[in-house]
Amino acid sequence: MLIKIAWRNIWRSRTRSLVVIGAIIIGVWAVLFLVGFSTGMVNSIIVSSIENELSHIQIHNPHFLKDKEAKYYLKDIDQLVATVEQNPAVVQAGTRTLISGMLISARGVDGVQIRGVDPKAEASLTQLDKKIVQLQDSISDKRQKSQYFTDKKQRLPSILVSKNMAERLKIKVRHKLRLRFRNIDGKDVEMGFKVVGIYQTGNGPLDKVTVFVEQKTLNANFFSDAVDPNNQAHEIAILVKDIDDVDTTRSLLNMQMPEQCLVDPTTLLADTVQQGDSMLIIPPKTISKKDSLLPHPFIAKAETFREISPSINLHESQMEVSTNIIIFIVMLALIFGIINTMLMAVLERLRELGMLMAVGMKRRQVFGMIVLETLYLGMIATPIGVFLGWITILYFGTFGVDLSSYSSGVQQFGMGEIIYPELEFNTYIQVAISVFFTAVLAALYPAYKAIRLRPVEAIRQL
Amino acid sequence: MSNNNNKTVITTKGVTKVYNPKTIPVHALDGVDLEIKAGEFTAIVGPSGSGKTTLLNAIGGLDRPTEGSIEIAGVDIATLSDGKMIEFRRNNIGFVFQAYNLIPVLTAKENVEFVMLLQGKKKAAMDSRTKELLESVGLGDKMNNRPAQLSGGQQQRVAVARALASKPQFVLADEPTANLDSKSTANLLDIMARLNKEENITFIFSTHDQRVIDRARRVVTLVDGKVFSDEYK
Repeated sequence: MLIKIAWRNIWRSRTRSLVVIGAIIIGVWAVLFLVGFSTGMVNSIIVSSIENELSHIQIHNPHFLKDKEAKYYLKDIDQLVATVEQNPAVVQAGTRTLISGMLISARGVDGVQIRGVDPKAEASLTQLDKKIVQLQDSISDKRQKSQYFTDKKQRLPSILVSKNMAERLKIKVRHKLRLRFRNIDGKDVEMGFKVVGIYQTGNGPLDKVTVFVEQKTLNANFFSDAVDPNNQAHEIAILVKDIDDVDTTRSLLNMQMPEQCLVDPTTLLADTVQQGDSMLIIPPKTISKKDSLLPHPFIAKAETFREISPSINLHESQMEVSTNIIIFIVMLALIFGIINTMLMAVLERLRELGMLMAVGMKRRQVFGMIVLETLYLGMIATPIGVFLGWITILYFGTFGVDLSSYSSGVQQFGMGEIIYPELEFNTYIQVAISVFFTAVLAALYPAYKAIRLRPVEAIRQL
Repeated sequence: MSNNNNKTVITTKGVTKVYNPKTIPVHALDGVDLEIKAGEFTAIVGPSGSGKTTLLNAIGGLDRPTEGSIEIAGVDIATLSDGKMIEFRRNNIGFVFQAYNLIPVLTAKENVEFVMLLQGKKKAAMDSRTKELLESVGLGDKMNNRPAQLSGGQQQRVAVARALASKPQFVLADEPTANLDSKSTANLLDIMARLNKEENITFIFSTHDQRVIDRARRVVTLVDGKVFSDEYK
């Protein structure tokens, strides 16, 4: 009977109940969409970082990771790449030469990171060819073949600058500019380049400082004294088939690095470890426990994109915190909305509630009835809100939310301009449960107010 | 006079009720001594503000007196906790209010069943009792109507049926005919008189209504919270 009375009570004031139901639906929908959108934003940052910059796994000289100094490079890169490509999880591997230098144009000077790349490898790794927004007419037909750095008629080597940089330094296609950097021997090198194209990855921080040149050209000038300059690089970027296999593949790759890397660090002799060198040949010997605390002497170390860019984790946790704060605010608004309505429902029924207690309804039964009324509202609204949230996320998860009108802002975060919200099934359940408990919480005060009534006073109410 | 036996079932001794004792004290009841015997059909009368409703509420355990004691069926109700008092009311006292106070979302049948449900009665027992009561108040054909679909007189008859559903020892009726026309009043009083006789239920009314006073077998008159007269007819 209590169940029946509570159910009928909520329909006594149909409009009011529908307003509360509407508020809960909007609350649930908003929370779901917000969480989905935040997840989509974080994913966009991750995807943008992977597609434009990091790939899934990168291999470096371990010292390079700490200091970003060009002298910490990888030797015998062909063998390393061959080893990497043997791993069945790897779908693409490419090398890069990375040097810090200065860009000197007619309008100014700027610090840049010079990326020596193989356009064919980059086409698969970062789809760089598709991110070139403007290309010199004479080589535009070479974009498809990823040969945009090759122009036989051209005397100077080619360079790609970002749209951001082009706008800042007033650089245009066909302009000439110079790059200055220090080569492996510490000698200053200055090279002339011709701008053959302007790119835009959508990853603001990357675009701000990066220029792309052909790796062969850069290697010839950076590793100038090496027997085979093209057999060296600073980075191997790797894409794997399934992003979930990143950690396993990274661990496997670390075990598959050339033989000296297979040596357990605890079996190394301390005096053979040459700090700061790019190539360490360390014979396996037993050493004392103290010596085993020396830095890991691998010559090449594979790391996942998360390890390389801790800012991804930072973005994730920041997004989680801000999402939680907003969820808290929405829930708080919901609580007060429900309290307000239920309190009205209680206050306008004082006489009736008094009568119920007069004829023998216990206070806990009155309490239960008010809570039940609120729960009904929640039980009607929550599934509708969840359904609408699911539909919205399904739609925008397919077609995306276009943030191109805020492009400069989103690029600063390293996000793509189109966000695809997504949500795990568990989150729907969690939100539904949270709203359920929010409704219970909101019902407590009006229900408490109801049981504080003295029947005689309540009946006296007009 | 009383019907089957003359056993005293309600005793009030020196019942006093003072509202606002710390600010402007209002003595609603001032030392009321009363004995009511089983099966009586009693009207408590008096001018407005004489304490009729206050006395009825005190007897029904809805309000606690400032001083004095009330014993019902041998139980001093001052000793009962709030929870026990609710239970006591549910099993022993039926209420009929001036404004009917039915549950608007329930049908006549459900309203009558409600108290029995709180008592934990079985469905079959509830069904037969509800039918019997609604038929005896002449509403056998209105069982599935909600209060809004009934006239004032019909609603008050449902309220009487509800008050009797739990088979109480007493029915306390606060101005039950105040909102009814003459025909409905006569009809209601007939029903209550019959139930009083048939089920030996003690009826206590607070009323202004001469029609009720005429039908009562005992009339207690209150003036300024005191018993002014107590007459058996």
